[in-house]
Amino acid sequence: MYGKSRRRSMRAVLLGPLAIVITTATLLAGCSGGSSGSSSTSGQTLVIGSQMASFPSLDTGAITLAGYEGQRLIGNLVYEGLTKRDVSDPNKPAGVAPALAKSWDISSNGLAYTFHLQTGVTFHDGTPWNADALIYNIHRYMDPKDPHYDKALGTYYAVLTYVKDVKKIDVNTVAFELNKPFSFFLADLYNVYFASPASLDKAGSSGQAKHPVGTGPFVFASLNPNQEITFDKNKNYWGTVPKLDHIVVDLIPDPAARTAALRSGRVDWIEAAQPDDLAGLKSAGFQTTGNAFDWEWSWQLMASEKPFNDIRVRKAMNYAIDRKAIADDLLGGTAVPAYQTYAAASLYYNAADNIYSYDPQKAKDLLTQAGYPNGLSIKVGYITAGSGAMQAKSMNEALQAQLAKVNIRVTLEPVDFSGMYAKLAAGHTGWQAVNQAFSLEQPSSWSWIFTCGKNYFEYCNNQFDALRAKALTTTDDAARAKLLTEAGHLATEDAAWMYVVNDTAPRAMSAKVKGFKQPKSWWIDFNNVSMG
Amino acid sequence: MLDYRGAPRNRLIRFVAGRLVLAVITALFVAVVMFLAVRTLPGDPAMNLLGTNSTPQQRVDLNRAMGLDRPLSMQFVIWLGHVLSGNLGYSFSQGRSVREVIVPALDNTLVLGLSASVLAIVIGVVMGNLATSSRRPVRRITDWFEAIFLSAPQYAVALVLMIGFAVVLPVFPAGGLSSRGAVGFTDELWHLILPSVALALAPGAQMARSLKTSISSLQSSDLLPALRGRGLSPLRLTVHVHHNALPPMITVLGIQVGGMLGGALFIESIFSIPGLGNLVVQSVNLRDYQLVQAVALVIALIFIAVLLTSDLLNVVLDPRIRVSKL
Repeated sequence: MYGKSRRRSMRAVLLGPLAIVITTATLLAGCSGGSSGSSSTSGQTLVIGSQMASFPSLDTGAITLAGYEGQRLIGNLVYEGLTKRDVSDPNKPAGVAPALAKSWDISSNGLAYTFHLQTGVTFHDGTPWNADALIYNIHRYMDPKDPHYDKALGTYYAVLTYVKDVKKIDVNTVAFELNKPFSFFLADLYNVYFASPASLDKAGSSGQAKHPVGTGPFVFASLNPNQEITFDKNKNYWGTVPKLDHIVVDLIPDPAARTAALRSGRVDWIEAAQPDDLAGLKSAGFQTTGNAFDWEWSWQLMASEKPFNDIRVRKAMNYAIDRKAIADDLLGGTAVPAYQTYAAASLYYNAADNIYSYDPQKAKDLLTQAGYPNGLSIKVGYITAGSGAMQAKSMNEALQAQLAKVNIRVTLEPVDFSGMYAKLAAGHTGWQAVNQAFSLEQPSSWSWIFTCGKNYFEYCNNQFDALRAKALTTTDDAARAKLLTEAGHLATEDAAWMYVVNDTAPRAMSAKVKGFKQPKSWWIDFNNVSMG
Repeated sequence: MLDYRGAPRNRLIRFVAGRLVLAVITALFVAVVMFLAVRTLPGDPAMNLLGTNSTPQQRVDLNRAMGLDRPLSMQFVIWLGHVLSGNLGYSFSQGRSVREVIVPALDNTLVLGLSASVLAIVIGVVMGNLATSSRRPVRRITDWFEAIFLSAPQYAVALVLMIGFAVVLPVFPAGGLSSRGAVGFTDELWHLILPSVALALAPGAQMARSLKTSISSLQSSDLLPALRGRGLSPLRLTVHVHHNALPPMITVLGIQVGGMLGGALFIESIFSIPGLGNLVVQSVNLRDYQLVQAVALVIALIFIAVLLTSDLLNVVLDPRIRVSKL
C-alpha cells in the first residue's frame, strides 16, 4: 500500500517540473512563431464580436454553413451574387436589388433570364468579372462534366437545380434557361457567390477555402484560425467604396463574454446582444440597435396526432399565451409579439390576419368544446441554443407557466439542433409540439415547413400548397406577394403553430460606430458604417 | 555484481515495452469507446451540413459521400487505418483536414493548461503555508480562500474575474489570445493571465488544503522537535516539512492536469480561447464525427503520454519502485 501511494506521489512530483518545462517551451515556441497572421490595422477598423463558434470553409457555397451570420459577416463582404437583398431602407422589408447583374430581362413564359452584367468590375486579384467568369463559376457548381466541378458546393445552391443551361451572349450578357418557371430565381441567386476563376485555377477549392477571392466591398486579409478573420477595404470596389478601412470578426460564442468584450473595448460591435445586458450597456454609453425582422419563433403543433389534430386545441394554444409579457418583460423589448404566420417585416404580412389575442377564458372554452374540460398534457421538444434560438429555455419555461393556467400541462424536452431534426426526419418523435425558430424569407424553400407530406410538422392544407405553387411561377412581384399573403392567412386560420414572437436581432456597439441603421433583415450593409 | 547490473537493464526494457503495449491498448480502447459513443447520439451529419431545406435523397447522398452509409465496424476499421498512417481525417463541418483544425486548438489548450498548472502550484504552496501561520487573521483569510474557490463554479469565477479586471478595472484584455498588431511572448502572456488564474484557483485551493493538512500533521508529530533538537536551521526545517508534504499535494496537481486538458472548456468559452474544449462541443453539436473522434483521441494520447513518461521517470528516479517493480 505504502509503495503504491508513494509511487503515485512521485509520479505527481515529476509532473510539476514537467509542466513547467513544457509551458516554458510552448510559450517560447509561441513567441517565436507568433508573428504570423497579423495585418496592419491602421485607419478605421471595426471589430465585431460574433456568436459564431468557428469559421466555416471560406469557399463560396460552404460559407452558408456558418448560417446567416457566416454569410452576413464573411460571405457578403468578400463575395457577391448576381442579385442581393435590398436593405437600403430600414423601414421596409428587404426585397431584391441588383448586384453583379446590372439588370435583367425575363421571358414571358418565365423560362429565360437574360442578365446584363455590371461592367468595370474586377475580382480582388485584378482579373475581370464578365460572362466567362460567371459561366466558370456556375459550371463549377452544377456541371459534373466540368473539370472544376465541385459537387459538395453545388448542394448548397438549391436554386441551381432550376437551371437547365447557361450561355454567354456577349462578354457582358449571359442567358440562363430554366427547366421550369421559378419566380424566386432572382431572389435566390443572392448568395450564389462568384469567385475569381484565376484564383480557382491556381489553388482550387481548397485554396479558396482558405483565401477567398471575390468582387465584394472588402478584401480578405488574414485568418487566425478559430479566433479572428480580417478584411481590408476594397479600394477598387465598383460600387460605393466603404468608409471602413478594416473589418475584423472575432469568434466570441459566449454571450456574457461578448458583452464583456464590448465593455472592455476589445470589440466595437456585438451580434446577438443579451436582452438583459442592453439597459446596462445603454446607460454606460453604448448604442443598442434592433429592428423586427422575418424571424418566426413559435411552437409547431403536430397536426396529425392527438391532441393537435383538433383545430380547437391548436386555437386554444394561441389564445392561452401572453406574448406581450414574453416580448416586453422577459425579453426586454428585443422581440415583438407574433399573432400570425408572417412577421410584420415580411413582404407577405397583412395586419388584418392578426386574429389571435391573449384570452385565457376563450382558450379554456375551446378546450372544453374539444373534449378536454380538465385540460391536457403535452410533450414539447425544443432546441436549446444556437443561432436564432433566442432565450429558448426561459421563453419555453414562461410559456409552460402560462399554459398551465389553462390546464395545458407541458413537459419540456431540451435537445440540440442535430438531435431535433434527426428525430423529426425519422418521424415518431414522441413530441406533440416542437419549438424552433426559422425564417420565412425564402418561400422557395418552404416545403420542409408547410408542404403536405413533406414537412416535418405534419401540417397539411392543400389550398395552401396550391397557392404557394402558383406563387412559385408568378413573376409579377405584387401578384406573387398577394398569393403568399393569402396562403399565410390560411395557415394562420388553421393555427398551424402557436405563434409567439419575432426577433429584433439586438446588437450593441460603441458610440464610435457611426452610420449604421439596422434594416428589417439579418442582412446588413457596412458601406455607410464608419468609426467616429 | 554482473547480475545486479545486467538483469535490471533487461527488466527495464521489458517494463518499458510492457508499458508501451498497455498504452496502445488503452488508446485503442478509448478510440473504440469514443467512436461508439458519438455514433449512438441521435443526429444526422448531413442535416447539419445541408440544412433543414435539404431533401432526404440529398442527405443520403452526402452521408454516402462522407462514407457514413457503410457498416459501423467497417467505418471504424477504415478510420483506424487512416489514423495509423498519420491521417486524422477530414472535418466536413470546417472544410479542412482535421489536423489543420486541431493543431492550433491543441496549442492553445496546452499553453493555457500548463500555465494554469504552474500558477496552481504557486497558489497552493503560498496559501498552504499561510494556512498554517500562527496568526489567526491570516488563517482566516486562507480558510475563506479555500471555501470560496473550492465551492464556486469555475464559470462564475471566470466571469467575475473578467468583469473585475478587464471591464471595471481594465488591466487585462477581455479574452482572446493576442491583440491585433501586437504579437509575441509578452502579449500572449498578458492574455493568458486572467484565464490561467480562473483555471488555477480551484486546483490551487485544493492543493493548499492538502499542504495545510500535511504540514499541520507534521507540526503535531515528534519529527519537528527532533529535527530542531539536532540544530537544523529554520530554512532547512522548512525544506524538510515541504519534502514530506509535497507528494500528496502534487498528486492533486496530477489529477488536475487531466481536468485541465478537457475541463478548460468553460474558461476557453468565456475568454474566447479557441482550444480543444471548445472544439469538442462544437464538433459534437455539428456531429462532425471524424473531428470528435480525433479530438478525443488526441486528448487521450496526451494523457497516456504524460502518465507513461511519469511512470518511466519514476522507475529511473525512485530506487524503491525499481526494486519492487522490476
